[in-house]
Amino acid sequence: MSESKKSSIEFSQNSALESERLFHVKQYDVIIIGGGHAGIEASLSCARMGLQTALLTLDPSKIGEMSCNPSIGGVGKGQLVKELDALGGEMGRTADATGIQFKRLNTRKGSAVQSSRCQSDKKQYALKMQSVVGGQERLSVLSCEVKEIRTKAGAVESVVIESGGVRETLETRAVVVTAGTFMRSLMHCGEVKGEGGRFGEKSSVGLSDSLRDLGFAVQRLKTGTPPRLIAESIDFSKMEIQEGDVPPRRFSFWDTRIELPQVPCYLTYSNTRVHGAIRENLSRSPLYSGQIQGIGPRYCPSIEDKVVKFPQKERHPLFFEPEALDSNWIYPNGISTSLPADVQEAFVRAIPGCAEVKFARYGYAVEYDCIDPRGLSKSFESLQVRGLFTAGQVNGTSGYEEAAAQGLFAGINAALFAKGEAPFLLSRAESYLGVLIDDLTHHGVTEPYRMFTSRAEFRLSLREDNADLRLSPYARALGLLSDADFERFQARQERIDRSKQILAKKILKPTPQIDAILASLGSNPLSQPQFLAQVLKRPEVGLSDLFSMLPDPFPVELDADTAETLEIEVKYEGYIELQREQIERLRKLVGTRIPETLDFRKVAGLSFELRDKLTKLRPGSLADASAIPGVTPAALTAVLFHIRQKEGASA
Amino acid sequence: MPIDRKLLETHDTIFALATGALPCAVAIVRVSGPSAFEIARKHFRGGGNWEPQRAMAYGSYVSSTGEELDRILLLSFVAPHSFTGEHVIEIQCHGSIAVVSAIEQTLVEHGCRAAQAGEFSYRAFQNGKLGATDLENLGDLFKARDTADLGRLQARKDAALQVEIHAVREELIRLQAILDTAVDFSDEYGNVVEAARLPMAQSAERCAAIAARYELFRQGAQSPRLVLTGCPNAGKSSLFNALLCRYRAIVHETAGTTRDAIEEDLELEGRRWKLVDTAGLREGESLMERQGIEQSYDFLSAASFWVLVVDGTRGFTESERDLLARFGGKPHLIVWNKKDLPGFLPPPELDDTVVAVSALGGLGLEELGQILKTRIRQLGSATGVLPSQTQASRLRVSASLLSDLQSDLDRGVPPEVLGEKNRAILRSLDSVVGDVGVEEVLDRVFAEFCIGK
Repeated sequence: MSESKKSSIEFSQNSALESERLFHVKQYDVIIIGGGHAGIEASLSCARMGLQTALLTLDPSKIGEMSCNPSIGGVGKGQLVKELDALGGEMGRTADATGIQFKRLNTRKGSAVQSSRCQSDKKQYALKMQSVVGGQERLSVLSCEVKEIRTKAGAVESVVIESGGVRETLETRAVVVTAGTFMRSLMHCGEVKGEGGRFGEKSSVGLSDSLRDLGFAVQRLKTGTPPRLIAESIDFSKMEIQEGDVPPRRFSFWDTRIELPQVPCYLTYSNTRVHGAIRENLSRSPLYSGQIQGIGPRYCPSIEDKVVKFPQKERHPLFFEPEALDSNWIYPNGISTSLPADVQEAFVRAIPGCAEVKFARYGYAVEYDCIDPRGLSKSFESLQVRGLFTAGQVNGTSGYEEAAAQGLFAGINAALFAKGEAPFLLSRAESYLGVLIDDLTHHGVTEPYRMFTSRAEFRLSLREDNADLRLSPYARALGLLSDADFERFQARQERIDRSKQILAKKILKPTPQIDAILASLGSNPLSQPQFLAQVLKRPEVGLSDLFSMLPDPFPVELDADTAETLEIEVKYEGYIELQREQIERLRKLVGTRIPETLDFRKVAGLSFELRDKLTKLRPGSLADASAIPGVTPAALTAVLFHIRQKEGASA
Repeated sequence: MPIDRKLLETHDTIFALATGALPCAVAIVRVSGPSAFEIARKHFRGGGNWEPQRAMAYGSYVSSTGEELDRILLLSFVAPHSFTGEHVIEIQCHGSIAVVSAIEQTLVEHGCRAAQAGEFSYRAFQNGKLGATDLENLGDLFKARDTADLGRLQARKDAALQVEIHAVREELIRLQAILDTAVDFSDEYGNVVEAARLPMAQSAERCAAIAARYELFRQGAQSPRLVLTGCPNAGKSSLFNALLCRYRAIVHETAGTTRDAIEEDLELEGRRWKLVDTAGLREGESLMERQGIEQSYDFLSAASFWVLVVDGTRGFTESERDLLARFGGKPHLIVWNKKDLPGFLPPPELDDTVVAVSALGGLGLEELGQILKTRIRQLGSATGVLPSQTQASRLRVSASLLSDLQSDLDRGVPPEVLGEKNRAILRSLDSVVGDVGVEEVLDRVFAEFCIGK
């Protein structure tokens, strides 16, 4: 964003300015509570959409902190970052600027579910975010604790804050709560427990009560983090070195550069000695002693969980990741734990290369409050209180990417609400973000929710490479994409469209040279002239292979990303088309209105339970019906059929 | 004849012959639609002015020029209390081709249209008189051949099929989990895809097996064969006729008579049987005679149960003993015939069940019937819940998609694409147990059945 670059006021100064301003002006269009990954995106999007925005945080120096792993992206998560980027979010740009190792996952030939991941310099990451936030016009950062969210006639009215022992009231039209793991949080390290949402930081006590008072159901979840180790005390020669991709591929669709030096990670494995040390001390784990009540994520289990649940496995992979270029802290990915400090030391020392290891910090688990996201509308607004939005870990998710994507979405909707405009909605057919919104608001969470590609029915269409094609027009309409970025987008779209046309229309005639190239790829010779697209559809032929067969250079200049989009779209055309049809059918289906007179008890093919539920909730359209938990596509078809039948009878 | 879906959406008056092929004793012409009563008022004469309130009336059906075409019984049903939910009349006339076509002629003159296959049911469905599942069950009802089939149709409504399909579903969900793991956790489980092979093969097999039951049901191939054999003049044909007299099934098809055997349907213990009378075992060495014996062997191989008819005044012949030796392992019994004749030898004491009867004189037939029934009960009946046609066709499609999936896996198709296909299979299974996918059910029902005609 051009505006974010205009000012580079230092953070502390800005903060001081704002406290002064607070004294005079106690009114904001939107207030964001929390300065984590969700809060950043929420405040930036509101401010960029032209609203006076305040970001409230316990500690402004912790804005953009990576509390756990020093990396961005991964399978399913990379897609979210790309979507966020396409929608004008900040995470992708900052990841590029502060990444110290980039890797594409699932890059098997022709894969449509490639995902990006990078290791970040976590110090640089937070600093970069702080400078973007600090430099953002219309955005004020206030250092304070939130005591209460006040409402009037079912709508947000103000936020009561406390700073330096002084209470103040800030009037606002909309509030976005992005408090992360800081609501009534409890940290566990063995038998030791203490209040706090992150190492050495306070917990926010009043906020979850306030949300409960405002009608949210509050539930308790758990997450954890591994110890941090001192690099110099580790013998990396006993581990496998893991380099990033060369050249590294960026996250952002826009004008970013990877400039930091690229460094390796290290792979090692746990062993039976490690597992033995853990097993002997299980009774001292707060997870197994019953000290921890919250439910943790199954996909990111603690090492003690892995040892208990997979006793037959003799080793688990562990990735040793640098936390920052100028830090000697190592993040040992794979040994999240809340065992007591002495047990942590004992089992980590049994890991190859760690015999002499020194700890920078012990691992711990955090229990925290989150709301039941089924209390949210599809714009992430509370169903009880108008103008109240929530995003991030507060909604029961886990992960920076999930948080940031929600933050942007809730921010956009808070801004639209404050402007008195209709909400911005995303369907699961067009984005992973839509899938996330849909899943949270329909099904709630039973464990911290993480994105997987398997959650997306249309994952062959919802790819990283086309996130901009899917979503950037929305960003433009919302005012979140600069002229320069939009031009860039349009140019890319044009290149893709033109290239597709050429591939579909241009013919390749068989020649001995072409057949030789095909043979070298293990592909059959051309028996007759074929369209370029037909040749590219062969699994063994890539776009660059195809280009090497052309007598003249391909008339459109293609960068690596655009070439990738093109190749996937052609290769998977059949599947993508099939998904498009499904999406279309779904769209038509949910568009149908349900007559007010319809008696759900008479709909054949519905379970009694569903008949009951539908009779009670009386959805006005099939779209609304589909939002009710338990209503399957099959049930929707039954309702649709009943409607048609009735219409037929009365016609 | 293909169905014109556009015509289905018109609401004109339609008619059809509701009874079987002409000529026959009584024929019923059913008329449904807005002008049904107008037709009755115009063409029915008898007992004063006809009004729809007269649910049943006897009188004459007259042509447009007033000539009596037939004496008829006229039934009327006022909407919505009719099969179709529209005004309906039923003209019960004599089953003569001439009469029926003359009546139909008058209907056409009134602008009525001959109904398409299944159109009465379709209207019933549109008017909320029949559910989609009712329709499909109705279709299969016409196909059911015996009470055991009816039992299986009934069981369709039970949870048994759902349990079976859920087991397949579980397997497929497992498969999906494997495929998704290969994508979402590729850095830890890149090679897990290989583990998908077994669940793929197993679920393909299960789907195919459940679907196959419907095929068997439809073809009637499950009618087990009860084969009568014995030497000429042992009394096979008399027994054949005696059994038919008692247990003959009501059939519309003509008996299938082949050069070598006669087949008829009979119903025993709720099951439909094909009773087969073989040509018989002629003694002798000629080629013709040998061939006859070979053919008997074929029939016996295919039999579910066989009966050896022995002339009780003569005792076992060589070829009869030979048969017992060959096919003694198969469920069978021996009928010691001609009990009423002088020179009747006492039936031998054997491990086999031997029943002494006189097929011609009717002696011991009651006892034979009881013994047959008992033995047949022991055979058990066709097993497994019967899927509906739609369910079966979805399962068949699932099975073939699953075997495609196996070859995709072999060709190295990436797991996300395999997962995509598997999800589609899961969705279609969901609709099998979910009792929906109604449009599809309807298309099939109306394309294949001639319901309500």
